[in-house]
Amino acid sequence: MMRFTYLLAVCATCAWAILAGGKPAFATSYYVNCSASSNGMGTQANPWNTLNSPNAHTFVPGDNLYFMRGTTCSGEVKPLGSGSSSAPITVNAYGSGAQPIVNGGTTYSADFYLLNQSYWTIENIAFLQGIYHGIDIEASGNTSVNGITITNVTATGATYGSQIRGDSGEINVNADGTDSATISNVTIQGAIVGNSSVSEGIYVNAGNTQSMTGAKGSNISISLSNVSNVYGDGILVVDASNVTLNSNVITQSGKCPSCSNTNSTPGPIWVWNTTNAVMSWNESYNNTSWGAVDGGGMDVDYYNQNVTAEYNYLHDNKGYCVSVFGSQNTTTVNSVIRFNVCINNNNNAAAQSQGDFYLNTWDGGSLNGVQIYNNTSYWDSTLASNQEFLDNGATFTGSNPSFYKNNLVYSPLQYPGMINAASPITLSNNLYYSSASSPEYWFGYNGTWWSSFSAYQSGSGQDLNSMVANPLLGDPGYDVDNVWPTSQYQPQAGSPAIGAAVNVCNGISGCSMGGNDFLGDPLPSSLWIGAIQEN
Amino acid sequence: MKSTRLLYFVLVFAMSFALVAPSHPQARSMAPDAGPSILVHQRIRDRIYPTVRGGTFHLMASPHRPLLLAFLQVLPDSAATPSRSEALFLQSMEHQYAARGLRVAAIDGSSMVSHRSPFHDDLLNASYDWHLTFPLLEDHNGSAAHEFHVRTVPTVVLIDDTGIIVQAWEGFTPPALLAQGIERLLGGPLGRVPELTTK
Repeated sequence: MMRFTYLLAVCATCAWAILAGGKPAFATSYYVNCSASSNGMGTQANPWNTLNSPNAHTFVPGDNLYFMRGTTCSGEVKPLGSGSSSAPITVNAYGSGAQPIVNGGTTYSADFYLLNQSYWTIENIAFLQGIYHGIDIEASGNTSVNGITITNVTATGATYGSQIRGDSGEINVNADGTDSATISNVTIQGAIVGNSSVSEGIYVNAGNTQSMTGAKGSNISISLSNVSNVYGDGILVVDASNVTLNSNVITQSGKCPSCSNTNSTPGPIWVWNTTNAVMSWNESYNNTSWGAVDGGGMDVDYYNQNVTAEYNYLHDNKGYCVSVFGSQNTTTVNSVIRFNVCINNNNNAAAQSQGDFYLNTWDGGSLNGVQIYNNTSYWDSTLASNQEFLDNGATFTGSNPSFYKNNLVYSPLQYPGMINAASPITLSNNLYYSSASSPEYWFGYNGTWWSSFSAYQSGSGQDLNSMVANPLLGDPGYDVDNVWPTSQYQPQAGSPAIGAAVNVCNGISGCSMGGNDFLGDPLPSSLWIGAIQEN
Repeated sequence: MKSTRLLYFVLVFAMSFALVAPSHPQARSMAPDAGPSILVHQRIRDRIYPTVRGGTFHLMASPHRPLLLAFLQVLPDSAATPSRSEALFLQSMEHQYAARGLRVAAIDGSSMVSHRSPFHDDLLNASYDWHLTFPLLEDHNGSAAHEFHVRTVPTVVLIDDTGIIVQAWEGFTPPALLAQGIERLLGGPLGRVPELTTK
């Protein structure tokens, strides 16, 4: 009886430990202090002082690997083992003060490297230099990597001189694109990335890059991160489903001084070959491109399905505000661009024709459903080939609705190019205005151009409920860099934009305009033209 | 012997539960209580607070400058709380408006949620882990939150260069709203009368 009671108690304790905490009874914490005078046993009292020790250890679910704050370890962290869904392996900091630094210098490919390992959490570590990557998480063969969480890290100063997309990246979460390897359930939050000569700031390639039907990873989230000053793309997610890119700041991407490949021009924040992605509340500014295309604020590239770009502030970029592309004999399906504010974009003098909203297809690609509504633009591109909304001869297929509605365009130009669109895109309830004296507006539809708004309306049959009128904004003048648009882009009392918008979802099954405007306020019952509504 | 061993496992069981039981998700946010709201249009007192990285911070600068002051729940520092989001955009405001004289600071309001004062080292680490570029101030006994009538975190108040609270926002506030208030204070276009905004 005594033995039975003893066993019962042991079993109860173990069972509870697994159910309540999810952590195995024998998880261990290991400690690294690279300032310690001798290499210890990995305990807090007697820590390791070299990365060779943790790199030779196989960690088990629930283990922790701690680095001493205020210290620097030279080399590459390359631990072995995987955690579990209920007990990830955690890499973190201990002690107090500045984050511990791992510096791969110019010797190691990455500061932190995992291959085919799941359920790792990396937080509160500063990764400095490394040749190609600060953090490099790889999946190869047929491996499905799961559960990668990266929180509150910095990854800066990687030294490689990128020449083409994908050759390097500060935070690189990468499934081998030629097989069925995938990476799912990736969360990157609060990362400070950049000041380096690598291609991508944050790059998540979650599956197979060979086709739209290849393996995809799922549940990719990147938020609260700041990417600045990288050679190529700021934040790029490919081959994934269920993607959220929320509340990030991206600036000075595309800075490569010697890149020339025009097939991989850079963008600050974009998705490719994704299904169900939302890019929201991001700020993207002062980004550029070495080529005649891209370098815009945000891109819904080809191979994408069900992507929404909303509530973003996109300004001072060399290229478009938001683009939607189709290519490689595939169709980009259901793109929604709404409640964004675009200011002072499209100033790349070497660029081909672009617009704040730019649609393009090539190599047999097509678009099926592009909804552009309730955006506000300050349109001041002086390049004659640019129009605020430019459909660059895109091919449309399918029956999903494509339209441009409820948008507010304010321009200081004498000859603003406003529209260059074609069927099946429909336009209505937009407001166009130039503050120049005696402006001459240009509108194009199906290849015909008009410099009179009324002639455009009657000739095209489009924009019948739209207007050319002063929107009476608070102060629409262009402000200096880095200043958020505020009341100066909000229609004031008496504005013809007030109550002049339409519910774009009327007659569209399953359509929703979302709950808020650009300022986060609920949409009023009587909708306004533009991104900012009554509040 | 039998009862001793049994008691041992009962104690292990109880202690383990106390150590690792997950906190309630509601602890991540806090609804405004029924107390009085922020004293918009009132003049603040020139308090001096210790910053977690050392030194002190005067609410009233000399020469006087406007101040964007936030009450944030800084701990736990790896959680995706509304305060964490607010911190990112407070830094954005500092980056954009510091050249025009705006100061930004945050007072730790973690105790409003946890009902205990955080350890200094935890706050110090959080200031680094959030990569804060503005001062994080310690409010040991919650006196600052009490004095400002803070009812929830995050709360952000905008104080003009004479020490008057001209705007306050309760709950997470998007950067465009913060900028709207700042622009108005710094000489931007006139808008609505400053007021308490509860998101």
